[in-house]
Amino acid sequence: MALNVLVVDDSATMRHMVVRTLQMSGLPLGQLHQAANGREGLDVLEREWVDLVFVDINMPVMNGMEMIDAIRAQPTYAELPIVVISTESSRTRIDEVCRRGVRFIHKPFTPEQVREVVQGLIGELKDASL
Amino acid sequence: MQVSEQTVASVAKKVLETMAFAFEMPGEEGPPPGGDLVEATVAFSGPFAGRVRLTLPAEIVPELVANMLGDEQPEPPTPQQQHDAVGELANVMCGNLVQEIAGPKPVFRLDPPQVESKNAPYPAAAPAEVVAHIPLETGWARLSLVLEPSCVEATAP
Repeated sequence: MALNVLVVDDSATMRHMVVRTLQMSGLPLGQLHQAANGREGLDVLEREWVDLVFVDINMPVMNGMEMIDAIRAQPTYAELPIVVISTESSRTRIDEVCRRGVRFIHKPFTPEQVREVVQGLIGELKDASL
Repeated sequence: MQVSEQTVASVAKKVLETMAFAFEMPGEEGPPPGGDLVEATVAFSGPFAGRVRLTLPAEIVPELVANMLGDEQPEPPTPQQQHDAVGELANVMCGNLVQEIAGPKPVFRLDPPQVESKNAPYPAAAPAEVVAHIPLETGWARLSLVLEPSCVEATAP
């Protein structure tokens, strides 16, 4: 199964780094979409099928928390796997994020961290489809 | 509140190594002369407030950005890409540094990075500014932290 992935971050550099890490990870990738804020990310989700979302927290226009809440409010995407990649280091805030049913990767990240999290998510998806 | 240069340096080195594959190369002595610089500033607020500033010589920025973006880039990074990348480095350094100082629980708000290119001497340390100078293989990086006055521990007269 090729994964369609959406990467949402206001830094084009960070989006590129995440995409490159995914491409190097050996994961089966389909379409790779990018968005610069939560609003743009939701626009992508309205017109494209996405299997996995990477999202930053601190972004202009619509931040990552607001985007995650909007995604979870849609029945179609209520179970969509989401990985937050953020410089956020506050345990309080990270716990708040993870209560929304997402995984968390702290910046700066290594390719191995991203691969490990995504492979875990893929494993869960396979288990759920059995 | 007192913050050591080692704390600032440790965060700067970790982020440069992980994101840009830029490693400390000890040995260079004395402040560099300055010249064309790229500077990114991130203001933060929370239990305490202030700003973090990353300064790099402009000549090393294309290589750092190329390292961040990967080797497959056919063209050198554009000035916009360079500013975006330096801003992101500063953003990550700021997020990690404030939490290193404050511990795991407090929540901080980080403003978007403000990035500028300029020709200037190597920045002199301002009063109450904690500065880490990191010599790198191809140049250097300077990370500084300034806390708002209410956060700085008063010194005895």
